[in-house]
Amino acid sequence: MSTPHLLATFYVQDTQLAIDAAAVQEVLYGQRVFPVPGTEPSILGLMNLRGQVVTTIDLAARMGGERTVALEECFHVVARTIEGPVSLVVDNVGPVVDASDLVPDPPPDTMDPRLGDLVSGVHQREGTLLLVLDIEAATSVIDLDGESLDGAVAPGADGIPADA
Amino acid sequence: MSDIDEFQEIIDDFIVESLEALDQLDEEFVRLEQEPTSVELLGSIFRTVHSIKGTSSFLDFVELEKLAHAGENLLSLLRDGELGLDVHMTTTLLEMVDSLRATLAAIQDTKTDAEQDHARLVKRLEAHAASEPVEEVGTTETSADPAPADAEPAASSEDTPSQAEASTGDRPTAESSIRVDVDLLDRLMDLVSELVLARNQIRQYRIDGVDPSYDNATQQLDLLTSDLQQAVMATRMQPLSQLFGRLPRMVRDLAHTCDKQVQLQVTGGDTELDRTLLEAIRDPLTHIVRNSVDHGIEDPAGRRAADKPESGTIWIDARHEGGQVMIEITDNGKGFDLDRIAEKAVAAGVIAQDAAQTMGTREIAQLVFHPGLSTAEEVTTVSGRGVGMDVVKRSIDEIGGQIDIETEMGTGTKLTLRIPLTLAIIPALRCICDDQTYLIPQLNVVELHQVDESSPVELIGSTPVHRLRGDLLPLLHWRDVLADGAHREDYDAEGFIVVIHAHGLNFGFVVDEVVSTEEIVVKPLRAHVKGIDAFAGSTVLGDGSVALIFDPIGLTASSGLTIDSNAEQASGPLNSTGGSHDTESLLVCDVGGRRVALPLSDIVRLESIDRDSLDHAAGDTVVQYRGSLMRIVEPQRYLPGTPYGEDSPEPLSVLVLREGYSTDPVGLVVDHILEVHQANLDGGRPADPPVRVSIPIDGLVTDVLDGAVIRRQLDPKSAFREVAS
Repeated sequence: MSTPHLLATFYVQDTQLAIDAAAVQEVLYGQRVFPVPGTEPSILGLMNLRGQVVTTIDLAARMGGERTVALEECFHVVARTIEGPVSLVVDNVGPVVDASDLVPDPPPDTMDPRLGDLVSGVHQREGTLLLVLDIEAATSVIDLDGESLDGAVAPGADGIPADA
Repeated sequence: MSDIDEFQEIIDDFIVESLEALDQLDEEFVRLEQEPTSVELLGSIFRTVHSIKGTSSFLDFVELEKLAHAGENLLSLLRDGELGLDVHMTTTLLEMVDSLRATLAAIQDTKTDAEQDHARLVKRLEAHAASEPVEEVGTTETSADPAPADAEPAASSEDTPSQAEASTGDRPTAESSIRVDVDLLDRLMDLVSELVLARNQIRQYRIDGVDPSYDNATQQLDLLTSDLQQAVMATRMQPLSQLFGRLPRMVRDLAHTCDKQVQLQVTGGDTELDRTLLEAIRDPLTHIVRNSVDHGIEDPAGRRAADKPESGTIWIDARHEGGQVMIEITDNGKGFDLDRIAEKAVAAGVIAQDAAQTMGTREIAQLVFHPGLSTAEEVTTVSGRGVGMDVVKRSIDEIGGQIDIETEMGTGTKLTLRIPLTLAIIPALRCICDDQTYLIPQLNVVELHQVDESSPVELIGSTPVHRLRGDLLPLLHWRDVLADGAHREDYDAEGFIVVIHAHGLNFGFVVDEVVSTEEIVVKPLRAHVKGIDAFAGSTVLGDGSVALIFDPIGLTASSGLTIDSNAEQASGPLNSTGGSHDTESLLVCDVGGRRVALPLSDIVRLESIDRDSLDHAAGDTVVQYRGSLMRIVEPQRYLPGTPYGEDSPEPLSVLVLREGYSTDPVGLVVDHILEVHQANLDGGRPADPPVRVSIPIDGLVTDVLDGAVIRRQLDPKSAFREVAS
């Protein structure tokens, strides 16, 4: 995979993360999120992006931690994925970084796997590390574990055929 | 753009146009059989085949060209009157149409027609042209598959508005319509939905008396948006003739295969339906018509014997009615043998023997929608493998439609489909659960009831029920769906019961508040939230908030309400199957310290009766009940070895048994009603009557009683009948 030239960076607590800037559709602040009962915990719910319904994912939860900023004060990084646009909820956004000349290191094996699985590479920058997220891994569909309402998560259980 | 791309584009256009032209040919051939000498029809058919031949030669599709050429030759002789058309010729020509279609499809997939070999068909076409004897018809490449048309890509879904117009010979219609990418139409619909929402928001900010010109402008915006919405929705509407167009050919072929004579009469083909729905009913409709030809219409001898004209007729009629599209498929065939259906249903364990006796004809007819019941005497190649009608019903259910059967033996069968006009925008009931807005598709809503002291939510154990006109309506509380069913004891004394019909089952869904009915734009759920049965989609409301749409079918599935979801309910909502397969719903009670259970299917009602109101008559304990006397049976009478029941707590909890052959109601007294439990009885330990089996429920041994056996023990009349028989 070729290294992206521009990286959009953002923060979850003190960790600086980045995705390919080209994959970012837009960045929003303080959106209303409507919860969906019965989803796995990192799914915060749905939000209305100009009439489009977008799934909102708690990135802190995906990384194995907990969100410390109130949802109303969080930023939404809306990324284009195979599953359509998905909003990643982050604490704050950072600058766009030109990474053309940077060579990423692979994530260290000792990294917490919950985070390590989401990271495709690590950039060493002065005084800080920049973790580049694999956007598909970070937004993958996770099955409910045991705590679902009905125990079974049947794929394609939507009664009304997809349309509109 | 490279040359190759351009070339590919030409090929794509050629395929789409040719497939459309071939669809039209099907229809023309069937008409041609009625008027075999019509020069106009023959000319039109000839031109179509000729142009396919010309283009395929230009594009270097050799096999396609050979086939079209042979067909063209024969057609030119027919057109010039040098040959007369006969049935065999028509069949061969129709096969040619099928083969052309298959070859085009192959080109679409593989970019070449080299794999397609039509040598035998070409030879037959040539033999017809040379008036030579022709080898036996019916054993060719394509005729084994009666529905090659179905396999073809949905090229016709972006058809010009009316095939009927185009087929009248002159076709200037092409100039007044253009091809539009379906994705673009969908995108347009999305944009309009967004515009509607923006309009709704702006409307909220309108303040009276600020500036009349602003007011006028918003009003104008309002009107234009509504008009635009309607216009865009109209672009998605397509006439049903697109589905009906294929049927004459199909009926003709099937009738030939089955050696029957069948006329098809179609009306209302100009009725329009959203394109998604049109696609969704394509297969069910095909299946129904196929069934009518294969099973409904008798063969000529059979019809003669029944004093009917030799040729059977299938009528298809479509029309708008009450915001829905209604399609009726009627045949004047032999109708359903309801006794046989009931017999088979009992044999298959779908319904209980006594249920079959009490079911109405309409209810029995509905049994054909049950998986595994096929009424054909023999399995034929056309249909009758015992699958089908249940799939038809499911497909119709899924798009929020309904299907109904009326049948009369010897006279015919009528199937009625009711299909919503569009899925993109549906009417839905807006309600509040847990301070959040949810929507329920209006099509599934039967009625609404307010919960209050006079009509409360009652608990059987921990299972909530509601008494609705004397029947027990199983309830599903939003908490069961949205909050893991926790704190069932705390069910609020207030709220609304939305009676929902789904999967042949009525149940009440308890919500906190019902707000209004509104038209909503359905947005499909994305992968992350798709796996949840309870929701069918989401929508954006007027204030910009996102709300989830409940899936009525999913609700029944996720709730444990599946009292065998496929069994059409014979009468009461709690009436489960009488068969012994899978799990049964059991009412678990405490009787003299023993845990016993009765299948819910054996119980009609639960009553509380004061001991004071009991009377004694002819040695029995009875009570006035619904205008007649109900026998009240204490535990020691029906369950030997139970301590005398004087100790049963007041008021008495009485289970009213489902009525058997005799009509006297019987009520069993129990001490406490504990819960409703789903259990599989197959693995239980058999025991002495009236105990059917003993099974562990919640770790405690529970004796499952057999209602029918108890009735027999108590009812000397039915016991006598047994001895006598």
